[in-house]
Amino acid sequence: MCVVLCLTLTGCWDRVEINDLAIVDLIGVDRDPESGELTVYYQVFNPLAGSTSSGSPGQQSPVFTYEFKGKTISDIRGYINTLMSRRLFLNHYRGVIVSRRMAEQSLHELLIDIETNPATRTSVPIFVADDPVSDIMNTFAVLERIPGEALELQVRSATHLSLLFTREFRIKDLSERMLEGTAIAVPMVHLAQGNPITKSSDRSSMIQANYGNDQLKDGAVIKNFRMVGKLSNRKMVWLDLLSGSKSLHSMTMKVDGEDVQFTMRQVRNKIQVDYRNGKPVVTIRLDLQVSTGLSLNLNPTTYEEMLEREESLRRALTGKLYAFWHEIQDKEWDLLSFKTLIKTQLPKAAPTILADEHYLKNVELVLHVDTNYVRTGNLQKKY
Amino acid sequence: MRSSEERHPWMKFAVRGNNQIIGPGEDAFMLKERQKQKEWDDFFTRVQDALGCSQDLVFREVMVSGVVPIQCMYLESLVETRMVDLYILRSYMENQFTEVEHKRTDGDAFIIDLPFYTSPREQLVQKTVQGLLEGRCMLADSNANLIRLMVVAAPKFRPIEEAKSEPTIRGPHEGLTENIEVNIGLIRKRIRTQQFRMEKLTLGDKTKTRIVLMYMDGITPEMLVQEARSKLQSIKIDSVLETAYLEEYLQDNTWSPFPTMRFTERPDVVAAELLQGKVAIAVDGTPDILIAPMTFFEFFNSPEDYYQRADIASLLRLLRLLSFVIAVFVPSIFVAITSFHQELIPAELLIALSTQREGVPFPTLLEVLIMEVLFEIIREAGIRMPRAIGQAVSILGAIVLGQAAVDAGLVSAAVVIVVAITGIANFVVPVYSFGIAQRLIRFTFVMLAGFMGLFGILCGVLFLVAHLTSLRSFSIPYFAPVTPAFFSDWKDTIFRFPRPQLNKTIPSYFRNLFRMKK
Repeated sequence: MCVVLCLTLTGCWDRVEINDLAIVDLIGVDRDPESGELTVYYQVFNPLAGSTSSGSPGQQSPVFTYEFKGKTISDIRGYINTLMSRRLFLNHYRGVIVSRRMAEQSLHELLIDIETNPATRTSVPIFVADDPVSDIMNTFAVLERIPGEALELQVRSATHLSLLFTREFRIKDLSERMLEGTAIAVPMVHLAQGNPITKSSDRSSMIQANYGNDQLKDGAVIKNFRMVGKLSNRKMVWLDLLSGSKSLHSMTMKVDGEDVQFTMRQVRNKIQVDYRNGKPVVTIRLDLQVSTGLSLNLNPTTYEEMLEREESLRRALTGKLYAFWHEIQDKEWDLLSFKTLIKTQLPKAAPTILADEHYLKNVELVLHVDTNYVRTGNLQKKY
Repeated sequence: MRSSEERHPWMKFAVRGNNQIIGPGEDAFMLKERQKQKEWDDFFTRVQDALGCSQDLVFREVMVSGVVPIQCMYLESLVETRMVDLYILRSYMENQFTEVEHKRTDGDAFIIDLPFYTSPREQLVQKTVQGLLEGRCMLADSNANLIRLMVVAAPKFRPIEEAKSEPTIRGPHEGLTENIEVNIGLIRKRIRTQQFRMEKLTLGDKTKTRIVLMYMDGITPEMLVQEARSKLQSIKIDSVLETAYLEEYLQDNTWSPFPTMRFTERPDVVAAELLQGKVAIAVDGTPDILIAPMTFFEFFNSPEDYYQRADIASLLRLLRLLSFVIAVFVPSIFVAITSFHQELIPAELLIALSTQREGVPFPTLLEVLIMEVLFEIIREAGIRMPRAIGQAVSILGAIVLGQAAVDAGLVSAAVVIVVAITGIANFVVPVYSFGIAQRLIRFTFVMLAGFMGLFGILCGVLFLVAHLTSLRSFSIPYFAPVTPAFFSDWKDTIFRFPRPQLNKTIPSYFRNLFRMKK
């Protein structure tokens, strides 16, 4: 009987009802470089707002953003429940937004906290805010009730439907790259237009979707736990191509002096590293399927003309990719994780190559780009 | 105490009638006759008293050839009076009654003759009373000094109807009745072979219920028949009104919620199981026939599996297994993950659950238990109440207790959904008694989940599997053919292979019994 009664007590010490939890949706982190004060924002889901579609005027806000200030994360943890009535539940947060100024100082402390806390996930994206984190954390999203959900879907869709972001944007990717000693480009977020929208009723009654909405743009390059630079959207495309992403992407590029609109999809990507003349030589083969259906001025009429056009585009793309490579090589941003590649594919030569701190400068990149037209414009003459 | 005559004036008439026949002029012969008559009268009185001078006891006197009286006694509630009048009494009066019957089984003859003077009187009274209670008509032939008991029982049973607890879409619709002869007939018409064997015995000191053990000679392992026979013979019981009375004596493990025998109301199921080498036990007065042995996976098989395409039957069996898992584990898993492991719930679902639970005053465990108990009450009420009201109760229960409780914020909508899904899934299993087992263990798992979360459920599952593998049904391992593994039987366990590919003989785990006998 005593054993049975003891069994019934087991539920008392660790049972937590869902309603005792403050389910965190999004975390924002900022550190003032001058005062060193850390500000953490927890965007918490409001269960009283109901689970129907986006709120109409007069309804409750679907999320609340708490702001905590302190010297360290531990300081903040110490007083969270002086302000929050429920237990902080971090298991389901959908992303971390770090201010640019904090990213430029160091992300080390944040990563250690996330990695060592069993309640926090590392498979969620990390963003660097180009605008103040408070603005990003205090604005409502369009189409989705929960801003964190909107941001998660935005980055997922952008990754699948464009080459603007590499697939490695999760906290665990960042940690891995930092521990490997390479670099990573994570998405940057900023307000698309205007000021943050802090009332859900304003959001649902406003037609301008851009206004106060979070937008993903550019990539923040992080190396040694610090943001060391920024890549424009265009450069993110080249990085994504070289990384082997197979997403579809539409863009315009100058080819032989003319603007050409085209859509490309990488169908094959092969990367190989050799050790030649005391230098690592990385060979990347890219097979691209290209469609120029939208480009009125790039409509080949004969097979020879088509081959010529393909060659022109191939040359232009190769040139851009080489230019991008030389830029990141000069800055020593190992965004393509060549260090890991050398370690795995050249295990004997790796210690020698990597002994040099500036190993990336010694890497020689050979690109083999193949473009294959799958669709061209079907109008030979304008109407 | 009043005498029998005072209580029943018609008896006085009968006795007075005798006196009048004999008349007042007495000599030695007449004295002897009178003495003889007194003995007969005494016998009749004792029989009447033994039956408590029951209202349905009829005692008639018939004059044959104007001299010798034939007394006839029967219980009119049990016999067919027309048959007594037209066939027996008339034949006797016309001196035409001649019948010789060869013995069938002990005590089951159409006519039982008991010598009046040579038998001990007490035993004679007992046998007569027993005969009357079995629906026989007693004829006292004082000329031949015989008590003759003849079967004139009226077959009182409802007509053959569709089995209410086991309706079917395809396949025979006729169900068993409360009459054992009709039931045997329904089975025999499906198995027209000499191998079909029946053994009769009577159980119940008070009810004297007829029990028939059925099996297929040459197919059913002898060891199984012997075990069933010896178990039945060893039962000491006052009354047998239903097969369940016997089931508790026959099952190998009394303290298990899982049935190790099944009952069915369908003769085609009985026939199919007999042909599979099992034994069937029929009890007079109930439409249910017990079938043994049964293994765990056989409870997921429906007779309809063999009446439709193999692929559909296999899919349905998988569906039934899934329903078992749902019926047993869904409420407990819900309690476990909402009370202990919220990180396992997808974010959107967690938000939805959180919204629904807002304002609910009870912990999830209590919420689920309250709804489950209420659901059981509604179900029980629905079964017990007259059909028209039963439906109303179900609707009231569903709407009032479900919707209103959610609206009032007493329980969350998710719990109502969980309980509803569980309740529906519970009905999928074709055998009712197995469904009851599901209900019982579901509550255990809910408690374990409420106390220890998924760890508790895991412990429960381990205990459950250990228990299931340790069970036996008439020496057959309950978890066969999975544990112990009989791979050839897997063709008809969870999946049903097309009939040409199925084993032509009885299942392998049955064949082992033949081996054990050797």
